[in-house]
Amino acid sequence: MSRARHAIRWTFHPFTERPAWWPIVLGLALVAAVLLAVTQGALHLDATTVVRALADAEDPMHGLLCNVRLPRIVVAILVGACLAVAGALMQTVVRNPLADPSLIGVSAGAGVAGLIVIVAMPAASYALPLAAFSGAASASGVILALSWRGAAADGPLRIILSGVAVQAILFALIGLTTFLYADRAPSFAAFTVGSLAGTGWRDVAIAVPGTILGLVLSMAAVRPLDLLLLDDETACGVGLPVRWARFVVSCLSSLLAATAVSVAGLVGFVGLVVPNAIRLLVGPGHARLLPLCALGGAIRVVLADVVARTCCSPLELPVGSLLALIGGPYFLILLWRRLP
Amino acid sequence: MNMVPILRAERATVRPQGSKHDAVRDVSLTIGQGEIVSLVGPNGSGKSTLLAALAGVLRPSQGRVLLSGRKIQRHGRRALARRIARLPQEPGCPEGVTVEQVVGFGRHPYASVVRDRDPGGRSAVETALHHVGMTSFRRRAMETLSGGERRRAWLAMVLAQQSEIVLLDEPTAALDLRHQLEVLDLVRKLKTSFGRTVVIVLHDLALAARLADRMAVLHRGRIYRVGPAVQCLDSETLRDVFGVHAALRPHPDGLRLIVDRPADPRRRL
Repeated sequence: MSRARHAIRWTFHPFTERPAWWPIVLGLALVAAVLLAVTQGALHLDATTVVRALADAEDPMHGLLCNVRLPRIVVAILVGACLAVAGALMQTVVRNPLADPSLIGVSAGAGVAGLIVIVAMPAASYALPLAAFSGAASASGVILALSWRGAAADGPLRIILSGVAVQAILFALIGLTTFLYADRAPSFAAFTVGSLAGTGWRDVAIAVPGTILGLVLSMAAVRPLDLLLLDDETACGVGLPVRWARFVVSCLSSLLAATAVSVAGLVGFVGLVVPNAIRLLVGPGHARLLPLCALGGAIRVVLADVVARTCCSPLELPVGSLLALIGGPYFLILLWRRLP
Repeated sequence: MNMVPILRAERATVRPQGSKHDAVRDVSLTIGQGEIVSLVGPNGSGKSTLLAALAGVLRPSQGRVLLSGRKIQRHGRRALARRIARLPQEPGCPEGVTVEQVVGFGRHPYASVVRDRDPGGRSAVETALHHVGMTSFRRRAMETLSGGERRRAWLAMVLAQQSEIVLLDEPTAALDLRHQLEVLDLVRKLKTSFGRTVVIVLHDLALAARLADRMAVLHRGRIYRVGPAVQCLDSETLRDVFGVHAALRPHPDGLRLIVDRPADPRRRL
């Protein structure tokens, strides 16, 4: 056991000593994941076919690549980056590594509001991210208010428990909406578990503004974010308006989570697993953590989607269920280790 | 007293967050520029609450706290942090944060939120690390340090903040004797080398008496006595406030507290 751990330490030593390497490593991994995702699928293509098809608009594969696979990969990258950064921000706000928008009802809040727009105004796709954002922000507001007694959120469990309660109510609303408007709403199963099936350039257009805005604003806020890691009194002492900072950051987290929900449904556990893993590599400082989370989340969703498309071909699995199958046990481990 | 008042509580009544009782009642205290004032008193006498009110973290329900003659809440949060640095009793810090990062946090009031422009930041962090003797620890994670080293790292953060007033809440708590003395030497250096004004909460009366120019004895949320330590710590104070029969005797090194026995336990403190 200890020898195995020593071996792992030794192997990773060059990287843990030089955190500057990780962006390069993860960047290359993302490129590899994208290449894999382009070639694999219901129809297997080799690299030369892909290059020829991309270059030649007359090629029979051109349509498949440009209208099906590429937009889907781009959506997977955006969704993964959004969810991982949203999770990292949420964990900083509540100072709890167990927090994740998809576990404590923030994503579900976005889902309810998004579904209402889909059902009530099917033509207004531009309103979808806005509605999802307002839903996510209200859900996170309610959860923070419920778990915040006095000066600080106490215990790792309180926020999870109030989140579970809020999530249960919101899921009931989602179930009700998809049942009553089965003709217009996406299927309950695909939506609640999260799926990238049938995504196109339209979804990319929906997700891009929220993603860019959310990521740029979070990167601009790395300094206050680092201060939020301290306890409130110390952060206040060096001049951080703690409540205001916490409010702004939870809004940012809601924006990113809502962006992901409005194109992929309630994909879970990306925001839990990825930031915790990246923190082990580069520590809790946000200047390094956030960009690597975005890369790591993108890699994770792209790869999971490849598996979802190919493992039971021609049947396609919802990518969310695969992510939950990997992420759920990890959540249990975290919970087990943190409980007295 | 020939001192320029810089920080001043005027009949302040303060209730800590989440508490049902006023921990500080009707307290007036003036801190002069460049002096070291120690706050002493038994547990629960309101020392930490008074310190938080002096830092502008807690707002008095009655009375007011003035910084340079202006109400402390009227100073902006960041502007205030450039003038007053406060070190809480036990600052919390997550795993993986390095000493250098912690000291860098002290530069927050000088950096703009969006862009990382802080010309004096680098050298301020270096100087602070040097003065607490933590330069070689800069890349170590906080949780790998001993209690004394961690204290010194936090003190370096306060130094890097380069504020004219420093408020310290029991900086020697849970330290062994040697580290206590090191920390107190550092506090004295704050005054002598940097000309800072220091308000410090201390439990050890003899150390407080050695260190401070003036002492304020708190008792049940009120100021019992203020003045030079020798005048404050007579046997009457020690009996009424701290509940011990004891005496403070002159000693070649300063003062020495000689404790005889606890006062009558039935006597309410």
